[in-house]
Amino acid sequence: MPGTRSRTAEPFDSPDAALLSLRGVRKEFGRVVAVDSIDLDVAEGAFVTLLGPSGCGKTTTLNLVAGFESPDVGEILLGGTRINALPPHKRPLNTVFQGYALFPHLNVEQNVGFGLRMQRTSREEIRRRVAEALEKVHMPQMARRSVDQLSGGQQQRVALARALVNRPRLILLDEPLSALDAQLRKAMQVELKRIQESVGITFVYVTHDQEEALVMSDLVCVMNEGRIEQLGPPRELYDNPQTLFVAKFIGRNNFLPAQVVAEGLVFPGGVVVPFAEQPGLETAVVAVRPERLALWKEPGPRRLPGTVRALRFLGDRIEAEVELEGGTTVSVYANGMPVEPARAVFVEIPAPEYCRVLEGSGT
Amino acid sequence: MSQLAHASPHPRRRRPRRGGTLALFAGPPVLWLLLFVIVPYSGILVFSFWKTDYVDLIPAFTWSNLDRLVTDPIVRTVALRSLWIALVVTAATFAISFPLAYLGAFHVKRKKLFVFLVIAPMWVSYIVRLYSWRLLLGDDGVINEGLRAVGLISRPIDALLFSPFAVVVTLTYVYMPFMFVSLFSVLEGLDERTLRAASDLYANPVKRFFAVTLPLTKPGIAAGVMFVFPLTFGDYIAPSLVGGTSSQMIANLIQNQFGVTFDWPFGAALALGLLAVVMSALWVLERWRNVEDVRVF
Repeated sequence: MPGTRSRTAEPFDSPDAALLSLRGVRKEFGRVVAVDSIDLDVAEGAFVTLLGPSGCGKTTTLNLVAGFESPDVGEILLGGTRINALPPHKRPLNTVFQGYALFPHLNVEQNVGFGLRMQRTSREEIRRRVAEALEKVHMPQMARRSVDQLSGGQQQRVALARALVNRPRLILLDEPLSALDAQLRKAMQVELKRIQESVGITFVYVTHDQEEALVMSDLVCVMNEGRIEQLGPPRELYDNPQTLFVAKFIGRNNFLPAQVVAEGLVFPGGVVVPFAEQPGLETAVVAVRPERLALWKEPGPRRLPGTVRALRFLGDRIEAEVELEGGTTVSVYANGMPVEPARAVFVEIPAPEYCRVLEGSGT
Repeated sequence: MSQLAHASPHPRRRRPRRGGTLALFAGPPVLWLLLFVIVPYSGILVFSFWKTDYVDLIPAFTWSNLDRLVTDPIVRTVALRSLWIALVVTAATFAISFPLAYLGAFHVKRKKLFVFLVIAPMWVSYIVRLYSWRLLLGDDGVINEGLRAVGLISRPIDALLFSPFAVVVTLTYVYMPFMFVSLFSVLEGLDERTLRAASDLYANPVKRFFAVTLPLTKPGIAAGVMFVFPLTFGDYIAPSLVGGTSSQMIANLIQNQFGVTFDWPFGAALALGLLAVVMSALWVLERWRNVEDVRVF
């Protein structure tokens, strides 16, 4: 960082300092609170995804970092410097926009070189770095093409190259794959991750697609109604959701209502399952992944009685919809057990480490 | 024949019917073009080779009328005047409309009302608007009286009315809405994300305007010029009502040939000249509109 201001506090780039920090950031639009007091640290070189349904505040958060919106309250720090008041063109970061937002009057090369041109980089260097960036996204032959001759996937690559070429410390990506078809999207997920690792630039990625988030990210930040529900690596979010919202949003889940008593949890049908930990609630929702539930013909401890309502053939397995006594329906994989609709069965609750006892009621 | 016809679900009817529908839809426009474009223009073309003997038209084949277009000093003076008036008016409508359209497209909440207010004068009769300008610009008009009342001038400025200045002012006023609407519709349709992308890529507001906003407005500029330039270049009413003798334009000259001197062949030649200028202007514009931005870094 240029500038000679004395820095008595910690240096800008101490290794443990986050590249990007949001401190108590809040943004309202009229009476709608879009972002509600968010704290977030993004480490240098990380791939962090803001995940949530539409209207959860993830895009607003991105716009706050890019500088297209300014926070009502709180601080945004980039490399330790407060950038709240910095206009977008002065922020050392780049954005890959939803729908790409390429310049329709410029060709591929001119689009990619735009940022360098605005920074008065020399002609030769622009040429060299544009070629390098197009190489990186596998588009070296396309430099002179007009952007409206490109397919969606190619436009996506150009948009990425247009950000990479500037070698920023941070790239923001706003649902960059949402306009692509499913097959291309999967291929691009892998490629985006590969590119991010090879250039080592920090990515902050916004999506509503949980699968995308789980595949690519080092850290996923699940957002809901302007707040961060949970922040963690994909595995942890899947295995250990902290809130009912996260349990519902990430992966498939079953939700069983339960009463908390001294001996453990009382499930529908009066089955008591002992639990070591006491959640400190009276009623709870227990989230269990379908692959953790087991199906039995005979009754036994931890087994809830129910009736098979429907079967779905998924290729490598059969999924059974079982209506438990008390009305709750769960999905279970019938691993080898012959089942047919209307049959009475028992669903076994797994060991406590596979059950998440969450606050909430009903399903 | 009958066997083949039976094989198709709609025997026999189809073909003649389709031809009939085509004639029904294409007929009126073709007829219109024939009656109001092809025939009159052919007539003009033919007339331009004829001769006159005082007021009598003599069918002949002479190049002298077309020759006069380039040799006659009056034609040259009037044509050049028409050209500069049209260019100044086009530039002035652009200079006024662009900031207004930009404001309306990006900074006004009630866009429809804004557009309505800007183009509202268009719904007042052209003639009425011209007479209003006479009231404003005349020797005892609003402007001169006003300036005299505050003591800035002692005698009225006569250059205000019956001058090329008056023609430029009124034509700018009359044709500004065309330019405004053309620019506004393009500016309003610009994707905000494209502009944000420019800011994101280090373009400050001024650079962003010249590198992205203005180039993307090109179709609107071309459309606006396509309206304003031909309409002003061939305008006839404004120079005759507010222009006076010193600001005759090409259309006035044409009108003179047909209505005063009865030199129809020369009038026809002038009309062809006007058409040629307008068509070349449109051609140049169309080329310009389709040229890609060629600046490479």
